[in-house]
Amino acid sequence: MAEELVLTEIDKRGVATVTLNRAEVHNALNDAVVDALRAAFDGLAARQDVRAVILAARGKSFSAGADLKWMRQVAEFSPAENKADALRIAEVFDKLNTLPMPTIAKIQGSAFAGGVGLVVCCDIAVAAEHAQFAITEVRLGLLPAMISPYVVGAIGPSAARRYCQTAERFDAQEAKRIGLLHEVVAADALDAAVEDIVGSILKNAPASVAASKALIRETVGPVTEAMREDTASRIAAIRATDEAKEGRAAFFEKRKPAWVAAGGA
Amino acid sequence: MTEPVLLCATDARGVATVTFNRPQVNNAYNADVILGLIEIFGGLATDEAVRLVVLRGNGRHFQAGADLKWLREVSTLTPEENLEVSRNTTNAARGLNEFPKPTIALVHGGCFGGGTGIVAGCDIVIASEDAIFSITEARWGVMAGPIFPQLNAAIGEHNVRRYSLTCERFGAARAREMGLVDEVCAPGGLDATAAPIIDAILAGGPNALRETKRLITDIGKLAVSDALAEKLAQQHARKRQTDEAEEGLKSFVEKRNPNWYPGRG
Repeated sequence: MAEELVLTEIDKRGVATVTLNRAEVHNALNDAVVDALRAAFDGLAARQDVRAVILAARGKSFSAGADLKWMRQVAEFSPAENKADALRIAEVFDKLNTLPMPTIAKIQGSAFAGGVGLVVCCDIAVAAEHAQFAITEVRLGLLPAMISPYVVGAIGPSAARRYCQTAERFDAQEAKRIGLLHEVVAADALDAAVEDIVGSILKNAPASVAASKALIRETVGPVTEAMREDTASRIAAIRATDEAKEGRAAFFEKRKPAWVAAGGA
Repeated sequence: MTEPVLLCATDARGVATVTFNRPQVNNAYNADVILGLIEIFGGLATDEAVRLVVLRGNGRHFQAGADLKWLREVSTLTPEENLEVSRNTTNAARGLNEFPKPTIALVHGGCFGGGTGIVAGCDIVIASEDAIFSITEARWGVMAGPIFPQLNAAIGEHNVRRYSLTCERFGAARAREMGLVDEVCAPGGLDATAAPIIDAILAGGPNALRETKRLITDIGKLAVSDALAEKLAQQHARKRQTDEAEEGLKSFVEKRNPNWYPGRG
């Protein structure tokens, strides 16, 4: 039997750990992983006995974002299929974002693009100090679409305007400064740092924690179905452009895209 | 022949540089500057060769805000003419904030009043350690309304409440802490600090960047509606024709404290 793409464990305290388990491809997200995450989040949402959820990953990277082989398949889809695919991804981010119990991203390695999306959908983010981050979609002629409501919510419009457009890499300290991370610790202290936060959560009344989480979401403005529709339409539209085709082709041919050559950079 | 109040040049890579060019008055803006900004940014938006825009100031300062001598003349215009000035000011700030390509402000020396709105409306802001910021309008009995949407988005309402009410000066480090500035460098280091960021932007697909910026603007609700713009312009114009503004602007010209200042307690 093939290894499971996503592992879910729940300890006797009611602390669930959902682990991305495709270390060999830097935990890149494809349709099967998206489905597995959806199943995991649906399962946890229905459980009264789960008090906190840790989102973790195996291997060197936390998540490298969308699997570009998958993106290449998606490129062959019809516009309707393309949008449906994008909506499914948007729904998984929504499920993570709206899990009724607190969620902690335990970031043991780098996170890029959709991997950053998973981080910003969690309530609390703790990273090992060597982790790097980037919102890389524009390098490929795409845009950070479904993740953008959560990205802007976490790091604010000012930092989003920079990092969504430059696709620059930034380190964990910068990620903490802009609000993407709450804690940065040495790699060997990551377990203990997450456990400290879990310990605090377990001291609190479960229903009032859930009510607080829902209230914060309502106060800042929930990510609505209309927003998911809108962002899915935008990614579906851009995937079909010549620029996105060139971006994908350049990636697979390991060359610079035309717009870089043209710019002489 | 007089020098143009704004300079605009685009290099071979498509990097346009717009330079405030009234160094003799610390690049304070007047009607010519405002209309020039609207015209230049309008042209750059549709110029296919332009990939991004850098904004900077000639002389010792980035931008000292409104030319208060000019503002005093404006306050004596008819209410309709006075309102037209505020409409133009509001639209210049909006146009920069919603400009479809990435914008980078390079700030040295003073950045006051409307200057803070200009940097808040740019995507990326780099300041040298000698930069000084202040939201100065209330000090002169006028108000900063047209730039509040951008300032709120850049530094958050809480910081705007402090700095627009106190008109305190703050340095580059504090500006970075609040999110107004992205990078701080040694004096003279602006170009070197900007170079890798510009290069990172040129590596992104031009269309992807446009779509990404538009999405961040939509998600972050960063665009100012026509109705809000008109309201901001009307408030701005009305405040300028009050007795308080007259006293404030007069105190500037006469280099004395305004009559509402009781002196240090």
